[in-house]
Amino acid sequence: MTPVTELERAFAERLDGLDAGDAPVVGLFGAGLPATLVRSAGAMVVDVKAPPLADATDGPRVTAVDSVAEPFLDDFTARFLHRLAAGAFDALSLIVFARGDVAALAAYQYATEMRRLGMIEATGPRFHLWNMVHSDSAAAAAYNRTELARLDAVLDALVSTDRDFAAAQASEARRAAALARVPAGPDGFVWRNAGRWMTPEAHADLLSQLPETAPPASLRIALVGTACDIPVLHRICTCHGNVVADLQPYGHGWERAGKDAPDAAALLAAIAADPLHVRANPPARYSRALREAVAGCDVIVASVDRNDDSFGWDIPMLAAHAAKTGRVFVNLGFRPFRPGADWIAAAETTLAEALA
Amino acid sequence: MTAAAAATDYQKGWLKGLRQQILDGASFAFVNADTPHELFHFMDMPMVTNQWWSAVISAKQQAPYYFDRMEEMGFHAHLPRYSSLPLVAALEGDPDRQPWGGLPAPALLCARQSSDEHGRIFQLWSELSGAPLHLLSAPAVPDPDPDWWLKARDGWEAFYGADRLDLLVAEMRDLIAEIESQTGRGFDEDGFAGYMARIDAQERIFDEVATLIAEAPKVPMRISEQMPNVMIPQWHRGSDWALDHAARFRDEVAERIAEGHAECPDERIRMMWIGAGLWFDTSFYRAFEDSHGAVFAWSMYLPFAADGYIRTDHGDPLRALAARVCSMNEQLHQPPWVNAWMVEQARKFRIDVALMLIPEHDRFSGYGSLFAKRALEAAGVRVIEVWSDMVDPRQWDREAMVARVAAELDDYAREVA
Repeated sequence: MTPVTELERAFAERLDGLDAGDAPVVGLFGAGLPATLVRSAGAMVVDVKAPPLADATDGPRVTAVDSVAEPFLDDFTARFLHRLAAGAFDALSLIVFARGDVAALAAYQYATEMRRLGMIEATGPRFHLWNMVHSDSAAAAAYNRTELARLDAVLDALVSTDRDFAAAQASEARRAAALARVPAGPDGFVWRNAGRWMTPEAHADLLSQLPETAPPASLRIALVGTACDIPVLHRICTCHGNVVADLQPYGHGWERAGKDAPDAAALLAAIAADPLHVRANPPARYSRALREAVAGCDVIVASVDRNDDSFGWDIPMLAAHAAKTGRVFVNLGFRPFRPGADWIAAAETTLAEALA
Repeated sequence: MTAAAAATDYQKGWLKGLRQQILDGASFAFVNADTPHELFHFMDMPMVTNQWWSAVISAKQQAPYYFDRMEEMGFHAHLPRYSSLPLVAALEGDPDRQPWGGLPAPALLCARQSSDEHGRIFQLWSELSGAPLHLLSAPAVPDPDPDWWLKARDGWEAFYGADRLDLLVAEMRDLIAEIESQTGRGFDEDGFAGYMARIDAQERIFDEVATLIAEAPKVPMRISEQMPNVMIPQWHRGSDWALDHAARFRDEVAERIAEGHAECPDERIRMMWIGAGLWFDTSFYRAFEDSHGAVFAWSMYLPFAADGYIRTDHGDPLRALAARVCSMNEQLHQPPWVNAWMVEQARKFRIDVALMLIPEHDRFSGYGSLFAKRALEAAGVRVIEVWSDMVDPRQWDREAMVARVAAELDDYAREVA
């Protein structure tokens, strides 16, 4: 298997293709989690929010979940619950849900309640709510330290009492260096996100074997909106330019906040201060960070999921900012969880017309 | 005049007075419903509640215009509406279109991050008005016991968690400093304890009223009357007027029960209305009285005034306030809290049928609905889902909804016959 096919397989199969060996596996649901801290305890960390690609066609459908999942429940949440009920996460030791991700909070609450009511087996992984607040005030910092201690205690009980934060950060640094080689575009999206289901070392090894590629000089594109775990938007943009700023939750991730933190406390502080979080407080930080992040781009492409209740409030501001600064703003509207050919064709047309 | 009419008149007069106060140079705060209103009241800073103003705009049938305008402004059609209607009205910019001549620009904004949209909506308010925003954190309770109404009144420290309370108290201290700065008045800790005790007394009166209505042979007061009798004093909680009004409300209910008054003399089916009010069509609550003897005995506002607000102060009224606020909205919507409370309330009020408002585009309010439905059905309550927004009537088809509910009630009546 070539590095590329290995990365593509990991991206497509996700948790279902995982070979963790003997390491305890900890699932993470949502952004803003201190993954390095979990790794420092010796756990293999994997994303559980994004289902395997095959789930769209042959994923489990569990009646008990349907009985409590409102039709407008977040798609990531709904698919997680069906997979949970079908036993897809039974091999995991722990799942950590980020309260700052609305899909994760709902997943935690629904999963916990289904267990309490006996609607699903209670034999799978333990659930833990990572309840941090995204503010850098002194009160928030004190509160977040208690959250860190709570998570530490869970890791002590389920994974290990040993921590090697420096080694975990070194692995992440190696991966971050390798990620610098990843080109823009749909392939880059796949290769980068494949690491969510690999160790940093394995991911870095594969990335380092990729050929150097220089992006063609063309339009610089920013993607903004709600979480999108597949490269559909990158593909739509390919013929027009390079996506140089993917500001959606799967567009960045573990490699951003706290990459240079010397210890867990510093990592925590960096995540809390990250302005590119929709719950950043004060909220002006988020709007400002969005504007700054698209500053180097010629085109801004926005899309949201049907349940969006937060990002959409910034769309008119971003459109006005783009108009004022001579950029093109393209709003693709509601993006289905797994867009079909019709939606993709319409989005391609919208983008092409905007850039004509 | 009934107590409900008196409350509505008081609120109209209060808003008129507020406008005059502002014209005379007073500043006011614009805040969400699940924030510590007590701080504003106690420090004598006028305050308008976002969701109350939203309901007023909706009741004046202005929501369709504003939500159409909202989409024209570039906001997408699935954004939450209850909390955003006042913002859209303010962005639209014509105060004459708004009820009672609209609101002037607020001087201070406060919301809680119970739902993601609140930070974004209030950030836009802040940009529009120039007012500073205090956004209170809302970490979740990781392992919530279902029976919150039993544990939170007195044992709130353990129930909500010291770390969460510490955080909210610290953030409220920042808010107090802002109010002090804007009003020039200091925060009197001792006086605040007395004020909180008055609120406690008010909520205990509402607790009495809830029990009176629950235990009455037939429903003595419609929920459309209950709502203003509770909500308006709640917006002014702890004031002389609010305490007096709560007592008047209790007395009127008790008097009606003593006289054998029944809103629906042919009462055969007792119903609960789950969720926020249907603010654009409150006469819907009476739609099944003549046809089915079906009357609404319950809406959340009255019992929540007791269960959601009474918090023993344990010598620390500010911390008790944090305990009141820190999960206020969550208790009404999130499992296991919502399902457990709905069942307890349905039993207390001898409910046969529940109509459950499920607003698709207000996911904080919509999520958890089917857990509550499941729990109620397991407790023997028939549940009818009402898929609608609380302030946006654009997809509300009253005739179709009445027909659907009537058919369900027919079916229920046959079942129990």
